[in-house]
Amino acid sequence: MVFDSVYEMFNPLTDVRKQHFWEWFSGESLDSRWTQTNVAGTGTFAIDDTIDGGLKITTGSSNADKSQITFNNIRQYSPTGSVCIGVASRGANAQYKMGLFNLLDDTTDQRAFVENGATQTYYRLGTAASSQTMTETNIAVDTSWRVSRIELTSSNCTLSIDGVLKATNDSNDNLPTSKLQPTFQSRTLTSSAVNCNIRYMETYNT
Amino acid sequence: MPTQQDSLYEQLQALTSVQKQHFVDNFSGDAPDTFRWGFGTWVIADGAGNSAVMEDAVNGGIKLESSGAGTNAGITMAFLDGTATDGSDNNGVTTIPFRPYLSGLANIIFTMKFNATSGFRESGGGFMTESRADMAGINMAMYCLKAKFSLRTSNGGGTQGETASSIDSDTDWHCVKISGNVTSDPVGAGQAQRLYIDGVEEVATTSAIGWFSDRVAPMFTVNRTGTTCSANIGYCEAWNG
Repeated sequence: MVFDSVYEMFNPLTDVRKQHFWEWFSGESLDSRWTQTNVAGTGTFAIDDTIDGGLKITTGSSNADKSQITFNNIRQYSPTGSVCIGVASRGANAQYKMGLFNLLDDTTDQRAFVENGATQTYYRLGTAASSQTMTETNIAVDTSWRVSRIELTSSNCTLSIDGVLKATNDSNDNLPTSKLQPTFQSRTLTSSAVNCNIRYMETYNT
Repeated sequence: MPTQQDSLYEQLQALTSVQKQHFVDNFSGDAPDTFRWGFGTWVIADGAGNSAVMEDAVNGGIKLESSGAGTNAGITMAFLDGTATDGSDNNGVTTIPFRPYLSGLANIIFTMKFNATSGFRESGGGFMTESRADMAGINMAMYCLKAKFSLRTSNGGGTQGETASSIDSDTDWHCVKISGNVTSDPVGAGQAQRLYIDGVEEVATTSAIGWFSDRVAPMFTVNRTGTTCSANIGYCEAWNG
């Protein structure tokens, strides 16, 4: 038994499908749907020429330099009904944020994301609406590839890692209220360039 | 219900059958994908005032908007050459240069909403051999904004047909499917070009339909009568049956 169409894998034809995208990060260069931004310092963006490499974002070489990919403020995802799934890893002395952001400038406003940084103890869920709430999971930070799933509803934001629910932020935890765009950010936590990789990202409105 | 498969390929067909041409566009990103799509203009030769942009809104998709200047100004989106999102690379009637779909057996699913129900000339989406905002031309099977949403067709000589659905035009998002199973001329028993809206078969027609062996491609258009007019497209998938 197979599906007649990709559409019908996710929705019956009686439903109008909501916004949805997926990205495999496989090709000779990053797909043009993304905007590459150096938030601090000058990084590089390249498809990694390794098995299962995905996209590699290499930061600048000054401490706290960070570079990211976004939809350049085309924000089609809901703060009260959306899911973001990503498969990512980082190198030593690096930190990544992966999730849904309203803005491009990495302020602590209007976003929901998973954070994995070398100076943290655990993976964390972050939500922000003018101020930010960070909630630790019980998964120790590492350099492994992991799949993270962030779901925003009208009442909470959940983070699952490798298929297991690990953190929940609720209405007291600065849930975002503005429309959002997919974002993956690589940051160096030392005075040299570091790498973060992402090989899959999918976002959809529920 | 299909079961989980090893590959996307196997979600759609068995490995014992060779997949035909198929594509999906989710219309989500920082700008229109001009590697896949090109844009055409109508009446306004330089495209001034036409636009194709990713809409910065939840579930916005891509928005096509006609110029407000020039009687009957319009913009089209198809597998056209060029990168200009005002349509200035493809003026007037243009044969779509890349047409990998078979007129008689092609299928298309898209979501679309019109941002008003008046002020449009022929506007909609579907398959066609040509990119032209007046929704005329040859080998056409197009969802069309009329008093009731309609299936507009034409044959290989340009003779048109149009059949209304039961659905009054509105500004809601709709899921549209146009599907053909035509393999001969005259059309065989049970064969037709069909229009489904929100999962319900609304139109099946066998008259003035595209020549079954001609090549077509997806085409969308908005074309004004009043002030500027616009529509959004949230998803498009096409494949050969």
